[in-house]
This record gives sequence, C-alpha cells and structure tokens, in this order.
Amino acid sequence: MSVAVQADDRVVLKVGSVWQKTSEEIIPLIDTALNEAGLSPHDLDAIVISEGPGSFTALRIGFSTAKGLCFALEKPLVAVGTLDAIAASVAHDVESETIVSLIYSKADEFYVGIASRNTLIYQAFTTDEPSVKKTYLTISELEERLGKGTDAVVVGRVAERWRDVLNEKFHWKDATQFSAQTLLGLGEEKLRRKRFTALETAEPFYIKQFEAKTSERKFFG
Amino acid sequence: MTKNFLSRGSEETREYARQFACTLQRGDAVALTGGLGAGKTEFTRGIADVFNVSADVTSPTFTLLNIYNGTWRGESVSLYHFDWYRLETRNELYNIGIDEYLYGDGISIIEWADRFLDALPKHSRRVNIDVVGETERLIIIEGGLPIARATF
Repeated sequence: MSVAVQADDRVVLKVGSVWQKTSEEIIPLIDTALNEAGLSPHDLDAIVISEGPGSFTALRIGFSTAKGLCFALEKPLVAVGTLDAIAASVAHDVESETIVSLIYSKADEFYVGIASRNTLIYQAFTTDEPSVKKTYLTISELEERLGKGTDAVVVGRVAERWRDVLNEKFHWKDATQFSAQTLLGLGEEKLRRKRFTALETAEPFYIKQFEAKTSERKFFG
Repeated sequence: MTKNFLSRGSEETREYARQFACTLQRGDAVALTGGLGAGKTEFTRGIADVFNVSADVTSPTFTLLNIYNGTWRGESVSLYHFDWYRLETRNELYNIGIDEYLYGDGISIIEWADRFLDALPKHSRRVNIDVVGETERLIIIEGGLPIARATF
C-alpha cells in the first residue's frame, strides 16, 4: 500500500510496510504525505484510488478510507483501474503493440488486463469503452490466449517465485516502480475530464472468477 | 492417491486425524464431507491436537468460522474451521473474503465442503467420512495438488 500527494510538479510518496497492515497504516501515511507536501486535506482537488482487482480486504480498506475522506472534505473521488494503471505505467517504455498487465490472485491464477499500446497513450478515457480488457486466467490459459511467439509485453509486480516462470514464457517486465504515484497521471486525466465515481455507489472492482468461469469439479478424482 | 481407514469409534477417528494432520503444513486446506453425526468435528479435533490448539473445538454451524490459535514447528499458526452447511450461495463465501483464508498461511478445515466444490483450492486434501455402522466409520482421504499451494 502506498500514498502519493501531488502539489503542482512535486510528488510526495509514502509506502506502507506489508498489505496486512493496511488498516493501521493508511491514515498515518496520508497524514505524513500531506504534511510533507505542506498541504491541509482541504487543499486537495480530488482523491484518486486504485479500484482493483487485488486483495479483497486491502481494497475495502482503501475504499472506506477514500470515501470517508471525500464525504467529509466534499471532494470528488476518481477511481483508476489497477490493471489500467500498471499497463499505462510502461506504455511509453515498450515497443510492442500489445501490453498485458498482471496481478497475482492465488494458486497459479492471475487478474489479467490486455491493452493496445496506442490506445493507452492516445485514446485513454476519450470514450466510455475501457482501454484495457480485463479477465481472469491461469498462467497456462494466458499462454494459450497470447499464442506462441507472441511479442506482447507482460508486465506486473509479482512474488519472486513467479518471476522466473513468467520470464521464461513471455517478454516479462517488472513493474517495480508501480505505486500510488503511478495513479496520479491517469487520475489527473480523469479529473480533467470530470470522470468522477459516485460516492454512494463506489465499490472495489473485483473480477469474480467463479462468475467468470464455471467448472464441473467432483469431490473425488 | 486415495487412502481408506475403517474407524471403530470416535476415539479412533480422532487418532487417525492426528496421524493425517502430521502431513499438513501452512497454507493447506482440508475439505471434510460426510452426513450428520459422521464425525467431521471429531476429525477436526484430531487435527487441532497436532497443532496444539487448547481451545474447545465445536462445529461453527452458526458462526460460519471459528479461528483457533495453535503452533506449528514452534511458530504460531491459525486454524480456520469453517462450516458451509448453512450457506446458500457461493457469493456469501465471496463476501467474507474466503480466499484470504484459504490461500493464506494458516490451515483451513472446511466441514460440508461439498456445498461449494468450486470454491475449494486445487490443493485441498479431501476427507470423506461414511457412516457404515453404529460406531464404525469409513474414512477416505484423497490428496490435493501440492504444486498449487499458496505458500511453498
């Protein structure tokens, strides 16, 4: 979990320790970031949040906090898709036409965003059509989907044990630099276009894998 | 791989569960099935013994989940004891954040696991207890895929 505050061209970034401590760390981090930026909460134009997919609990904590602050301060909420933000964070650094962003879910399963580089750079938020197509796949399903010899760049932040596997199968790129700061660009763009999220209905974006696909598993065998 | 064991009473069921539990480690899930009175909770007590749980183990039929603190190899570990009997839809599981338990670093034990097969991790061990006599029970155990474990 991380918190970033942008004041003109200056950005203050604060990073929490582990996601399991999100609830105890989030408010002090926001407080520190604002202090270091020399701002009061009332000075903010908007609050940007990464809407997921991701950890069930951490997303709920993020939304409760952001919505609470928006209500109290009467500021707009801007929700940015986490897969969109990861893809956008590398769009200017890669050559390949297709960018695939990954977030680890569980076992060998990932949340997957598939986007065209040009759309990300030139057409984000120009229409209601999302620029990143989102799905839920196992690693071998993703391999099948992209096809052999694909030149798509696959990007994400994953645990060590997945890095080698991904490196072997794809043009893998670590999104090590991904943080709350990465959201600011997309957030600003959405703020400029007044694409706010209604506070009373804002909720985390979960891809519910059990709705996305059905299986016929048996108890034994 | 499937293993069968004929238990002649609840004490044997619990002892067999203790032997079984010695093969468990962090991140594992145990899916328990069997009718009312088959001994699912007794089997859970045997698992809890191995992880040095001192609390009373009772079926979480109404609470949905009991969490017991235990130890494993000298470190603390949580046992998540579920009962899915009263749940009606898969969505109810989703809304309690089930995956953070099943794929966390504790040990999950799920009674009435056959209510939602799709919600079970691929690495679950499956344990079915059949009533074959007044006190006799046939316990069938099948292993999951360890490769799919969340924590290695």
